[in-house]
Parts: sequence; structure tokens; C-alpha cells
Amino acid sequence: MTIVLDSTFAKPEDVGKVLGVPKARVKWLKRLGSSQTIFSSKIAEKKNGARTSASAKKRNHARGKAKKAAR
Amino acid sequence: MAKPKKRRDEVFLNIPYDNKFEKLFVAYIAGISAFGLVPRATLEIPDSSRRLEKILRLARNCRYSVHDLSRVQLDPKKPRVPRFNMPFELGLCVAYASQNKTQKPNWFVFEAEANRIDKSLSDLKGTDPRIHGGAVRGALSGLCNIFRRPGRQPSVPQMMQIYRGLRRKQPAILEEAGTEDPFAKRVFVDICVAASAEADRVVAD
Repeated sequence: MTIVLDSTFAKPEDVGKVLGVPKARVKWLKRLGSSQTIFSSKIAEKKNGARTSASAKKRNHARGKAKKAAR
Repeated sequence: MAKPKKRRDEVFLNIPYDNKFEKLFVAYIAGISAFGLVPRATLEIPDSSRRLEKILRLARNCRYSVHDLSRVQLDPKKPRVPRFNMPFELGLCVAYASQNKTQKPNWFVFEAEANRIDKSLSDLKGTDPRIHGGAVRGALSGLCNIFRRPGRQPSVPQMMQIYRGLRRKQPAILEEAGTEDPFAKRVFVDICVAASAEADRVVAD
């Protein structure tokens, strides 16, 4: 027997609401889906030769510049 | 005129919580989320004296239920007993569904081996369980045969894509939760949200 679903397609925010997940964590879990954050050093321990995402490179570059300016 | 309230269906997931079952656990979450449904499990319920009441309430609130009865073996650790939770919770759902005469059958049984259920739970004769063979693809294919969503129907390869995405994210989710137990409450809810995000991305309109 096949069930034809007539309900709305649950979005991550809906699932988070039902399961009591705070909005900030829903946001983090959604970001986790994008390839940019998979290699973030915050999430996974970086090993030798691990890839760094473009956004992380940009962020680190900006952080370095800010440090230099502060000196 | 009042705006009609959006309804989101929840699926009560009745599965064994042991490490050998981890892949299928993630597969069921991926498959259920691929249909835009919300997985619910007794993992959400803290251990307490009113646990049974809470399980009943959770099962009642879910429109559908999926029961995996493939773990019938004895526990290797002492005391060597089989797990009765899954058949017991299936019984609760069947009883509740039979009270609601207007409702169509909404509970579905999965097994790893064909015909085994005829011996382990012969009262279910006449009910065809979905046989997954202990494989992720088998469980996803079984879910695909149960549900159909017009306009946003996921295919088995899409469900596999969601499953693989979740497996990739699992270490980060475990690390954030500060545990290695994939069946911890926080890990379960986080995986459900991550699965929904992945499904929303993979299964297009």
C-alpha cells in the first residue's frame, strides 16, 4: 500500500521547532550542509594536508590583516 | 478569512538503538526526511517513571509509524536477552490504529530477512513486511514504496545522497554534542534537522 502525502514538506526550521532545537543550532546545522564549512578548522581537527575552504582562507587573511593593523 | 494551518506529518521511528544498527538508523532518518516528514523516536524521551505514558503520547501524535523488527538476536552482553521494545511499541501503534476506524493503516514493518517474521511474530501474518536485507539502500527503497509525495517525490539515489551527506556531517554533530553515542537525544535531533536541510536542497520541486 502506498501513502500519498498531502502535508507540507517540512523545512529544517519546522523540524527544529518540533524537536525543540534552538534557532541558532538550526542555522549551524543548515550551514553544515554547505561544502564551505565541512573543512572548517572549528568543526574537524585539521590534519596535515587537509583542505581549507575558500571562505576560511578569506577569513584568516582578513584576521591577519586586522592583527597587523592593530600592531 | 483565517489562513489554513500548515500540517506537517511526523513519523514514529521504532528501531533498535545499538551500534550495529547505526547505518540503518541514519538511513531511516534520511529516508523519512527526504519525503518532508519529521522523524520522531523514543530517544527524545528522558528515562523516567512516566516513560511509557510519554511513548504512548509520542506514538499517538505521529501520523505514521515505521517499525524495524530485524534485531531479534540475543544481546551478546549478559544478561543475554532479546530486545522486546520494538515489538511492544509496534503493538501499541497497532492497537491505537485499530481504535481509529476512519484512519487508513499507518504502521509499516521492516525486516532484514524474508519469512523470519512469520516465526518471530506470527500474529502479523497477512502483513507484508518490507525486507531491507540489513542494507541502507534496502531500507530507503522500502520507504520509497510506502510514501509518495506528488510534486516532490524523492528517488532512491537522492535519498542515498542525503544519507551520505548525513554520514559526512555525523562526526561534527557528535563532536558538538560532546558524545560518541549516535543514539544520544541531542545527536538524534541534530541529525533530523541536518537531514531536513539536506533533503530540502537535494529533493527539488
